[in-house]
Amino acid sequence: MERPHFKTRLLDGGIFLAGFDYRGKSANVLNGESVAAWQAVVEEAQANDAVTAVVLVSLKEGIFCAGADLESVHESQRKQDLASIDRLVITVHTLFDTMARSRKPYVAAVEGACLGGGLELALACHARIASTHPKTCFALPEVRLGILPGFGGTLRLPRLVGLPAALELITTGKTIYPRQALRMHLIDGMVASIPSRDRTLEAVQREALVQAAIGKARTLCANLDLPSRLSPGQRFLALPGIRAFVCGYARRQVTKRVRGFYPAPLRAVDAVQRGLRTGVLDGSMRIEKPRLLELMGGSVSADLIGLFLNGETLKRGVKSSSMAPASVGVLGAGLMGGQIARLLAEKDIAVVLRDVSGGVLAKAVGRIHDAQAAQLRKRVILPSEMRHRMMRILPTITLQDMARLPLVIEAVSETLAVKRAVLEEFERIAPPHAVFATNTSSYTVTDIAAQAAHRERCVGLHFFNPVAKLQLVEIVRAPFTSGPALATACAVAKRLGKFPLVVNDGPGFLVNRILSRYLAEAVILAGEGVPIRRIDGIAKTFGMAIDSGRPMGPLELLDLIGLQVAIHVLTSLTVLGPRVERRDELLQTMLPPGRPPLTFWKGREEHPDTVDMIRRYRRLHPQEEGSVSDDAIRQRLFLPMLDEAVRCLSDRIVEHPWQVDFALIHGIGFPAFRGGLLTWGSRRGTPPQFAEQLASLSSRYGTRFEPCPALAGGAWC
Amino acid sequence: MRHVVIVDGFRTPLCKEGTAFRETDADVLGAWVVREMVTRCGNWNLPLETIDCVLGSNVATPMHAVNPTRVAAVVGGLPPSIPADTVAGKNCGSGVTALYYAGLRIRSGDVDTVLVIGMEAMSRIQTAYHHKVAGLLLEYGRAKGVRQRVAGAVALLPKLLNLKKYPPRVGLVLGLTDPMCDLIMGATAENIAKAPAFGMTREDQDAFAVRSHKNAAQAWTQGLFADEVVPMYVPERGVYVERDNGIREDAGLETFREVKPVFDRHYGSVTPANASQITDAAAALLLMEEEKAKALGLPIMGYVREYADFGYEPACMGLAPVGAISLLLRKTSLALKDFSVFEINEAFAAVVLGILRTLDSAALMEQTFGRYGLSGRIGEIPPNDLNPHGGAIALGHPVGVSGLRLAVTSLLELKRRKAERALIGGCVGGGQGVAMVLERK
Repeated sequence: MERPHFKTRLLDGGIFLAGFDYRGKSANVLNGESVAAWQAVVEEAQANDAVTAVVLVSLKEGIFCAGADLESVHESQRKQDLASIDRLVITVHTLFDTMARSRKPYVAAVEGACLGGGLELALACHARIASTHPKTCFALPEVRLGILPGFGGTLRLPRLVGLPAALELITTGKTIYPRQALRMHLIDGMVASIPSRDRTLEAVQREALVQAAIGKARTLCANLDLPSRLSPGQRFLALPGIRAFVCGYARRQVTKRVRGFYPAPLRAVDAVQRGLRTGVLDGSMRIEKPRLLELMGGSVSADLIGLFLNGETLKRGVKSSSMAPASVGVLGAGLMGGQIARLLAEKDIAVVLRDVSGGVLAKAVGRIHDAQAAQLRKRVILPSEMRHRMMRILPTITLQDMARLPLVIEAVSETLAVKRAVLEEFERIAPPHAVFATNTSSYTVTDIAAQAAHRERCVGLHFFNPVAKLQLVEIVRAPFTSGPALATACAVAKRLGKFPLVVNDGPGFLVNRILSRYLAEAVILAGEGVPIRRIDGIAKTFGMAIDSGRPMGPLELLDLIGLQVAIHVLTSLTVLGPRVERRDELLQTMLPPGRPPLTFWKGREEHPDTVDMIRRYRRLHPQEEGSVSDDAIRQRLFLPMLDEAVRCLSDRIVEHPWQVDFALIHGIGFPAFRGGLLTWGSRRGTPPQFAEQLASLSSRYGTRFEPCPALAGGAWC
Repeated sequence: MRHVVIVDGFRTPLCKEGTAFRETDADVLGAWVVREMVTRCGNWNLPLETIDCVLGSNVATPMHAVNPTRVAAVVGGLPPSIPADTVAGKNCGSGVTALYYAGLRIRSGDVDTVLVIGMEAMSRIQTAYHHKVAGLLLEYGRAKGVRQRVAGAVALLPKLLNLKKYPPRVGLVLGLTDPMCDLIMGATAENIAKAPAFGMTREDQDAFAVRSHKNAAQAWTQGLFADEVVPMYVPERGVYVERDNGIREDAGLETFREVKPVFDRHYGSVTPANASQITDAAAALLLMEEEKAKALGLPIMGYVREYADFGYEPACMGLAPVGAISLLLRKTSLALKDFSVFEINEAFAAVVLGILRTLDSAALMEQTFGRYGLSGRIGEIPPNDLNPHGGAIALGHPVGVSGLRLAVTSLLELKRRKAERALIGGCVGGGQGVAMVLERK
């Protein structure tokens, strides 16, 4: 039978097959409409005596259900209209409870992503059968969006997989793959199934997965008493006294990770702990729902959901990832080149990795191999996948091997002459349509392409280190960059699962330009004698890099970037004007000739040599006494960033403020709970206020703080 | 008449067991050379579908890849529609035999293009539990509950540790031991070295080994191997390998005199220094029907011609190539002087010396091969033409790859000498010998 979002069919033997196919979206989502449709299906199944069991399947390939419809949630959040969410949650709770209590078994046949509310829907069924489809995965990512699983997940999951596993899934939002899910009894069966191309109920019904689910439904019809599959150990950990201890441990883990900046995981632990004392429906209504609504009403969740939607917008902006070439060249097998090659190989793109030194190449493939071996150990991939991935990378010292590639990404050493030489070499062997993408961080695409024969082929493709972790890729469009070149770069970035943010060419592009102000000021502060620990501590208290799981201050970040690269970037950005002030002497002394560069940190301690060095430097350069308040340090670190962001907007590096916020969160770890740099700024004050603060900093500490005219003029852009 | 040409051929560096390739499986080694060939096909604008089949040579079959050639072909980037199989049974002769079989298929008109690869990961040969211990281990693995588990462990542990009574089966040693005479290959070489008829001394063998090392070292210094060796980037160890690593710079009669014999510790003369090395490597050759290669405008490295093999007493397997060579000469009506380059696999110095001396003496021929109907002096192989750039003693003997290496090395040497014809051959464990004619025109 046809109805909106669900197709149903009564099979022989009373199996009621329901196919979820959200109309008008590429993914199945739960919102008022689809929940109402599902409610109608459930009601019909319950009322019809011919129905003995219900099997739920997705008619979209590669996705079971993506969870709640975030767009409508975000809309309600923006309108502060929590009543509609409240209504939806109540409907869902009663509906899921009807399913769970029904004497007709419900079986979910899961193929593809089963996330958030989708997983909670599956949890409300009596059994779940999953296919080994590569896209099949399970997660409750709600805490990453600042909320908690609100469709009964906090209650049903611990009852199914035990308290510790449930806490981990709920508080981290981590993804579980079918094999792990089977081991932890999240699913009742796993079947290798070939998805049907034809996504109709008739065709899908013949899939091994659906057949297995139907079989499961038949056995459940015979006996619906579901004994708990929790082990004695798991049951012990859920005993009232012990439970408090386990939850306390989970709270400590959470606090360690998010430092109290994010309320959601703690609320989720709360909900799980209290939920174990009550019945599922009761708990959903009285414990889970109030916490969900409280979180929904807060700004953190609104920011995080907005951020997520922005990412989707960026990815959707790339018309099709089919433009992504099947093979890509990477020039330079250094730290960045190797990581880019690894990512490409992992995403099924053949890579020709070229370097002038065989040893460097071998080290790079060695690092890639180790990363794959680690994934193999964690059972993220199978040995065959590892074999294929490793063989997708062809290391070579012959440039000629690059001659037939539609795209090469350049990641050679950060020297203009070298980059230009590489481009020239490449142009000699490549056809004119081959795209040359540079991963430069300190030069503009215009600089690099200055002497190119076909400069329209040049585009920037700026990855951030570590490539596997940071989701942002700046796609740099120079005035001469051709449409196809830009499209190819965007398509590759999208294929790699990154957020392709198109920015206009300019020194430091967007992220490094803003970042440089922050880093430079941190170095100046260190030079004034402010302890390293204090500078980084203040940035960490602000929440910098908290979302990466490793909070980090500017000086630690400098260590990570590498001093040489950092100096290079800062030097190249002096073209922006005197506001990018370097403490060259200070940084240069940290690069003793013939020895590895000093770092600010040595493990968890300040590097004693660096501390000494700073002391010596201060004796040579006596300055005013460096007694600065925490507040002043915070201002000196973050206001210049704000100023630079406004300048980027007025220079039209990007069009919209949300792009700045998005880029900084995903590129340098600006704390997401603050909503992004400009959002944070707009909540803290008005442009003239900031201009005033900057002006006062400028009079005290130097003209580098001079606010930009736009800010003083009272505009954000 | 269809002729078989070799379009291109190369090998990886030969790395001693336990060095650079020690964590790389045979199928992965094979995949590397397949991928290199795929790249070269790209440079020739040759569609990969032109390759009709892949024939591999691998002796120590990896447990996880019973047909390592197939794995290597697909993982290495060939379309899965190209079939692949493996020649394994001819031991050290597998490479030459694979070339022959590939040639046969082309000559018969069955196929036009065959990719022949050889891969051998001798470092990866497994050691197996004694069957009783293995049974107990499996039982222990199946045990349910604490009681069964403890009982299993109690039964297992004493047997597991009693290596005398329940010795593990070391794959490498078993593979090199002939079950027909219970002699390890080195011991069959001792049989030749000790036979009074050959008049072979330890000094003779060591001198031959030194020559092998010196020639190989010189070839590297002159850059001659650059044509046949493709450098390898070993992901498993993160190292770059450009050169064969078995060549001893300190090779000399004095140093080799110090090395103790291993196959007969007290009275023997075959030592690790005058025997071939255990080695990991891979090689690939692209074979094609002559007209097709010409039509496609591909380079021609040489021609695969006649082949002969011969069976001999297993305990004296090292002499079998003599039989193969005389059969081959009889088949082709050629004489030794018609060949400019000889590549005879240096399984052991004693083996090569035994072959040379037998070929060169009517009396020895009569004594050793008379009973098989072969007699008469065949001729002398000029020392300058024999293994001119060293052999398995210096470079190593990756069993399934050696035959292919001989082919590539000899063809490149023919080109350098602007000569016509080469003979390759070697002894095969189990008492066999193979020989093959390669020509440049």
